[in-house]
Amino acid sequence: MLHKMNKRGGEKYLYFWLVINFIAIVVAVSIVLLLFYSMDLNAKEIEAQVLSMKISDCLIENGYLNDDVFNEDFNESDIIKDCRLDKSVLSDFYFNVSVYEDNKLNKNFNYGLGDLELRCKLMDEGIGLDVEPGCSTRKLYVLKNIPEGEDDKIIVLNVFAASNQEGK
Amino acid sequence: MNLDNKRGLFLQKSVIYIIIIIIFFAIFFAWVSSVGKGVRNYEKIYAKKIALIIDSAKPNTNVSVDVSKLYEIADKNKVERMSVVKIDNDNNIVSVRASEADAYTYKFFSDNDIVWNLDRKSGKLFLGVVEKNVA
Repeated sequence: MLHKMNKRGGEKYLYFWLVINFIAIVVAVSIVLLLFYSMDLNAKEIEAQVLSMKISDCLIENGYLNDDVFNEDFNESDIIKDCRLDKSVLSDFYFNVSVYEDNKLNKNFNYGLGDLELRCKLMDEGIGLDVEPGCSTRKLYVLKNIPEGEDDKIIVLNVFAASNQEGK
Repeated sequence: MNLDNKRGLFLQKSVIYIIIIIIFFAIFFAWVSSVGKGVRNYEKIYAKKIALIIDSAKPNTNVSVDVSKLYEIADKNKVERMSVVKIDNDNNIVSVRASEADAYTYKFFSDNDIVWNLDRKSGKLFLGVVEKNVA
């Protein structure tokens, strides 16, 4: 009698462990698959690089910074227009253009999602974020057009761009 | 008689158990294969790739992109080849659809007009970047 009972108990345990094994296999395979296929195909950083490159390319001509930048009425919208950027899409982006003359900030323009700059700085400091933007900074030494007879002046152009675009 | 009953019960239990396992693993493998195809990943890769090409291209640039892999997936999923890639110049959107699910969309920030054409046979997407006419 005792022998028969033990047999039935063993059968139950066997089924239990088989079920546990199946669950373990399914969970392990699922985790690996989900990790592999949910990997972030991140293009944000390249996008930020393209944006910063595009802005610097359209502001510089033959090594000289566009004179219009120094006009008082020149603003962010002019950069967007001159660099052929679409304003409606830039809501997921941010750019900052700053011109330094004699180590002093002379001109500063920015447009887009302002908190991206802060998030990029936090990332630089090694602070992990849930959604990381793509960031790009370009520091360029360019020439400033000055009246004839004087030497060209070297100024610094900083272009920072960030992207937070998630596709749908 | 009693022994036969016990044997029958054991056999019945085992058959039910095996059927449950088969159903369970059939569903599991169907799910694994659907995930493993990675259609969405291909849609993402191509949409982002095309958007980046458009963003970095200067006006009067012509580029061709090989989308034959997308065609392959679209054919398997019975999606019309000509509707695999669409570029919306008004809203600056690239949409890629290789399955019956909704298309994956990605925006490009370049304000140029994109002239595009999908070649059904060669599996190539031809892109032409043209300066937008501002009225």
